[in-house]
Formats: sequence, structure tokens, C-alpha cells
Amino acid sequence: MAGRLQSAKRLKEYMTAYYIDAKTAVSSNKKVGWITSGGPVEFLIAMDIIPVYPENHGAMIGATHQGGMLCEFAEKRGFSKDICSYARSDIGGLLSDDPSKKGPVGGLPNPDMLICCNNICGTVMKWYETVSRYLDVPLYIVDTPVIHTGPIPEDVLDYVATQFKGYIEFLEEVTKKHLDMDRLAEVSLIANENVTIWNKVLRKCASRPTPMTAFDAFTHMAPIVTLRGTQGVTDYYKALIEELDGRTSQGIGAIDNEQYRLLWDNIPVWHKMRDLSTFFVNHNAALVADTYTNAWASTNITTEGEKDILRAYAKAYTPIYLNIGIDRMIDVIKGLADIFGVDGLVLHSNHSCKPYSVGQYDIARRFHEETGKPSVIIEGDMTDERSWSQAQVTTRLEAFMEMLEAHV
Amino acid sequence: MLLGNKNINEYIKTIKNPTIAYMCTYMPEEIIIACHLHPLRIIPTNDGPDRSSAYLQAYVCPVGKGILNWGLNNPCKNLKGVTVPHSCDTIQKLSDIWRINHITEFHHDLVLPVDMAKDCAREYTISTLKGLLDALGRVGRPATDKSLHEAVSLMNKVRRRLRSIDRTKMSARRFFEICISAMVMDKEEFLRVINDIPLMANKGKSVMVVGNMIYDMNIFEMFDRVGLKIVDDDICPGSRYFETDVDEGLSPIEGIAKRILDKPICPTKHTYMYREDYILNKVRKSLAHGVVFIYQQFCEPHLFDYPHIKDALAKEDIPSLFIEIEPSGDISQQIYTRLEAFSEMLSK
Repeated sequence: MAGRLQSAKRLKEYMTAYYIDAKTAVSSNKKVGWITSGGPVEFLIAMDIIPVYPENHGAMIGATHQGGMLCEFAEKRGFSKDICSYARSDIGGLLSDDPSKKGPVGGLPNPDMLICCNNICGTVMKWYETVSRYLDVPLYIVDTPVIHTGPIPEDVLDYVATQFKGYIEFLEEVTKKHLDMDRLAEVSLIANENVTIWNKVLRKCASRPTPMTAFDAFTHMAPIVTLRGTQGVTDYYKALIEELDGRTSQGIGAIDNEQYRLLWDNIPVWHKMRDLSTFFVNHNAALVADTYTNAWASTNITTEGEKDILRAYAKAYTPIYLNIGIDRMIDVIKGLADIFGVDGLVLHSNHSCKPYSVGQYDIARRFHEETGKPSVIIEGDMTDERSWSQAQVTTRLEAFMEMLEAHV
Repeated sequence: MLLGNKNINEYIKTIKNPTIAYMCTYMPEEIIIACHLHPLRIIPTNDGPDRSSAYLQAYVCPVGKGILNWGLNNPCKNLKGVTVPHSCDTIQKLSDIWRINHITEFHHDLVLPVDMAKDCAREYTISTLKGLLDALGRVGRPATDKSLHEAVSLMNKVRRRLRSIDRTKMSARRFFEICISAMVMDKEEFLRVINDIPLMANKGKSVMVVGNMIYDMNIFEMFDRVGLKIVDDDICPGSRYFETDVDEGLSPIEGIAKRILDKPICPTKHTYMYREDYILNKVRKSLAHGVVFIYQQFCEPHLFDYPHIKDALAKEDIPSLFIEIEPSGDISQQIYTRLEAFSEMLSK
């Protein structure tokens, strides 16, 4: 087996430097903006505001097995266990009085502003409202109506573009600085390059054997999510591509004896990454693609045919993967299955994420009907390790692998 | 005759006009009526087999499951289609499931704004409502200025009539049966029926109810039995349906849009004030001695607001009780016991 990617070490250094910058923002006289993962971060970059992602924090909390502990702080204050565990654990960290129990990075740097784009879910609005109350910081909501079918209607484009104008006014008000639109255009181009090269990274997994798996992608997605709009992202992924190409040219796969190629749907089970990875390795199966990391591989801000850049942003940020109809999601999944040559689909039915999970029964059914390939649904939660039944998941996955063996 | 859990589907079977079902109080019924269609709020019942579990996970709320089950077991012969005003993530996904499984021929998503306080929300709402008007005009008859004005006037009458009811002169069950009837029955018929409701003094400790789509009348009967008098509410089948009117001085679509944007928000929407301030004002005005939160399980938007509202009430020494209805939708004896204990506590 190829083992861990060498780039992982650089990634750790890269992300550590980012968090140090964010944590020392006050001393460097910079503002910090908390922003949702599907939010238009380019505006923050263009205004030299440090973006911080509570969802990324939630993922780290899950990966370090601190989800249950931090969720309990929020639950004690009355937040139900049925609330998204990213939100619950992040709020729990805020409410914790114990400095050693605030999360893997000792809690996020306090925000000067909150930017919430609801193109990923309605939950983020409630989460950010809560943070806004507790920390008494201003909140701006970018409302992106769901595009169930067809192209984006003109009235939706106008509505979202107008909100981007309001977004700029909000940032200028909080920072008391002016946004240079030429700088925004420059950052937009860099963001497009970032997205394009991230797409190239993921497409490397179309090779047989795949040089990395979705478990690697879940880790290496950090720059495209958190630092989109900066040159460092492109540079980082260029080096990663070199490493992946090196593996492919030597015929080295991410796992030994790759027999089955699988597609993952939904946010990873962060607290079970190692166990799940080991399970698939032991069954000669590689997760070669996933819908989650691919969501950051297509947000292209193109001004082509658009008279103003804010409408281009509306076009880019409205019809993202979680803001479209289920039938369109099925089309995306089938497209990925085709590109990456997958043999089956693994769906994580995520208790914490309804926009990602509700509809998966239809997705699984249609995927099978239209591709003839099998699928399995496992129940879990991305961050809260208390919502996980190992025996049940193992039983389902083993049955799926048996079915796959008979099928391929 | 008023409608309750047992006779609601019987009534629905008798609806003669082409019908459009909907699933949220943000639905402007005026537009359905103006297109000569019957607006029908989907009230889940336990009639028919549970078919929703083939489409929805166990952690989907009872409302979502009940609505889908209703559609799959469709009791309405003249149902032409459904319009889905977006509220929570679950309803948004439910809409897709309904559409791609062709549960009804006509399907329309009414994707309203979320941040109601923004200036641009008004123009977008008007545009969205015009889209709905066009779509429904193709199912029923195209609306005219006259039919729109008449529909607005009729709905204002219904809402005013509901607001005029002295709910302390009847049981809680009766009051919410009236509200449900208004959402299901032909509006003219409803306005006739409501005049025959007998009044009687209702004793008990005054409470306000805060929650989401509570449609099982048995829970309200429990309030009556334990001596809790509901003097005000903030729930979908209650005041959230009938608060505020459409300004008849504006053009109908502008008036409807203004009502949607200005009415007290539900937790799926955002505005310039948080809901705890709104609820606290309502409690003070109604002179309620306590608040009972009744939530359908897994309702994330409401569950996010709960700690904030609870804390705001506690600061004012207003006691509260939290009740959650489980996925089965069953109203258990345990709920009765907790309501009874709360009533006793308020009496001391």
C-alpha cells in the first residue's frame, strides 16, 4: 500500500499557519469573519479579513473525538440532541468555561462579524443567530433560494445579486474600509483557479488504481474550503498533483489490490475515518469519489455574459450541490459514477444533516435503477460519536461487500 | 360541523372544487382562491397505512412523515396538486420527494425569502407570488383583479373572525378544531358554521402554547382535562395562521407580499428581532402564567430557538414546560402526567 501522502505533512503546516494567523488577528490588527462553508469567502479575502469556518471546526472536533463532550455543554443549556452536531459542538465549545475543553484548537478566534449563506442548509442560519446572540456580533445573511428544477430564474439572480451588494455594505460598515472592486475581481480569478485545480486533484482518482481515496480528499479539502481566493491554495494543490501523478506513473495505488471502486455520499463520519478506511482497505475497496469534496470543485465565478460581477457571484453560489432538487443531485451522482468508474454507492444517512440525507432513499433507488449498481445506506452522524452503532454499520457494510463481490 | 381528527378526511372526500393542497402557514391561500381553486392545508391523520418509511428516515419529523403519508394515501378525490412554501430543510426535501415520485400532477415550489427584513425581499416576494399566480391560473382559472380582491377580502374576513373568538369561552380542543376547520373547509362554509359554536366559561390556569404544527386534537383535550386554559399561542394551526391581515388599500399581490414579510416570523425565517422578544411580548399581553412548548420531534428550527426563549422566560420568572411529540405521533399518557404536574405547580 502506498501509505500516507507526503503532502499531508505540508497540509498540516499550511493549516497550522492559517490558524495561528486567525488566532493572532487582534495583534496583527486584522478582522475575523466567521463564514459558512458554502459562503462567498472571496469578499473577505479581498478586504483582508481572515475567514474562519465553524463547520471546519466541527469536522476537527469530530475527528479528534471531542464531539460528544462538547455537544453535552450545549445540551446542558437546552440545545436538543436532534440539532446538527457541527452546530451543537461548536456552540458547546463557546459555552464551555473550561479552557481545556473548548475544542481541538482551544476554541475559534472570536469573530468581528458573521456571514451566513443558506445555500447549504437552513441550519446555518439558526446556528449563526445563536452565535450572534452569545457573542453580540453582527450577522449578514445571504439568502439563496433553492433551485429545484431548470435554470436559475432571473428574479432569483437579481435577488441574490442585490444581497451581495448588501454584503459589501455590511463588510464596509464593520471594517470601516472600502472594498476595491478590482481587488475582488482579482480574488475571483484566483478562486476560480483554486476551484479548477481542486477539480483536477479529484479527477486524479479516475486512474486505476486510484492514487488517493476519498478519505485523503476529506483531509486535503481544507485549503479549498478555508483559503479559497488565495494563491497558496493553487500552489499547494499543484504539489499534491505532482505527488499523485508520481504514484500513478509508477502504478502505485492508494490501497493494495484495488478490486472495487466506490462512491461516497454525504459528509464524512469524522470520528470513524480510520475505522471506515480500514474496513474498505480490508475488503479491497477504494472510495474513489464523493459528493462532498466535489461540491467545492464547481463553484466557478464567471463574468462571461454577465454585466456585473455580483450577478456572476449569484450564478456561482446559488445552484450548488445542496441547493438543487434531488433529481439533479441524482444526475450529479450518476455523472461522478461514470467519470470515476465506480462499482457501487455508499450513502451516509447523517442524522445531523437533513438537506444531505432526506431523499437518499430515492437517490439509492434511482441509482440502482438507472445504473444497475448496488448501494448501501449506513446510519450515523458526522461529529457526534454517540450516534453510531458499530455493529449495525459493520453488518450492513459486510452485506454490501458480499453483494458487490457477486455483482462485479 | 367542525372538523377534528376523526372527521377531517370524511370532509375532504366531499370537496367538490378542484383542490390545491399546501403545507405551511406561509401559503397565501388568497392566490389559490382567486384562481377558483379550493385551498387545503394538509392535516396528517393516522388513516391509512404508513407508506412514508419507504422514502423518509426515522429521524424525519412526524409532520414530514404525516404529510407524505397523506399524499401517498390521498383522501381527496379532487386534488389537482400541491404548492410547497419553503420553510425548513425537511419540507424542502419533502417537496422534491413528492415531485419526483409524481404524487400529484401539479407541483409548485413557493420559495419565499428567508431574511424578511431586507429591502430586496419585497420585490422578490412579489415576483415569486406572480409566478404562483400564473401557475395556479393554469390549473384553475386565471385570476382577475376582481377575483384577487374578493379572495383577499374573504381571507381577511376569515382571519378577523378567528381573532374575534374569545378562546377562554371554549375548550382548547374546540378552539383548535375551529382553526383547523378554517384551513380545510370552504371559507364561506366555514364562516357560516362558526356562528353556531356554543360558548361556555373555561376555568383553569392561563398558559400560552409555543410550538410548530400540532395537529392531534387529543393533546389540546389534555390541557382542558388538567385545568390549563390556553389564552394565546404561537403555533402553526393557531395564531400563526390568522394573525395580521392583507392591507386592502394595496394591490392584492403587493398586499399579500407585505403580509408575508411583516407577519410574526416562524423559526425558519430571520428578521430584525429574535423570537424570544416576540414570544415574551405575547406572554405579557395575554397575562399567561406559564408557557408550554409543544414540539414535534426533530424540528431543528424550533429546537434552536427553544433555549433562548426558555432563558428569556426564566429571567422574567415565567415557568415553562417542554413537551416533544415522538415520531409515531402518539400522544402518550406521559404527556398528560407532565401537563397535570405543570398545572398543579402553577396552581400553588
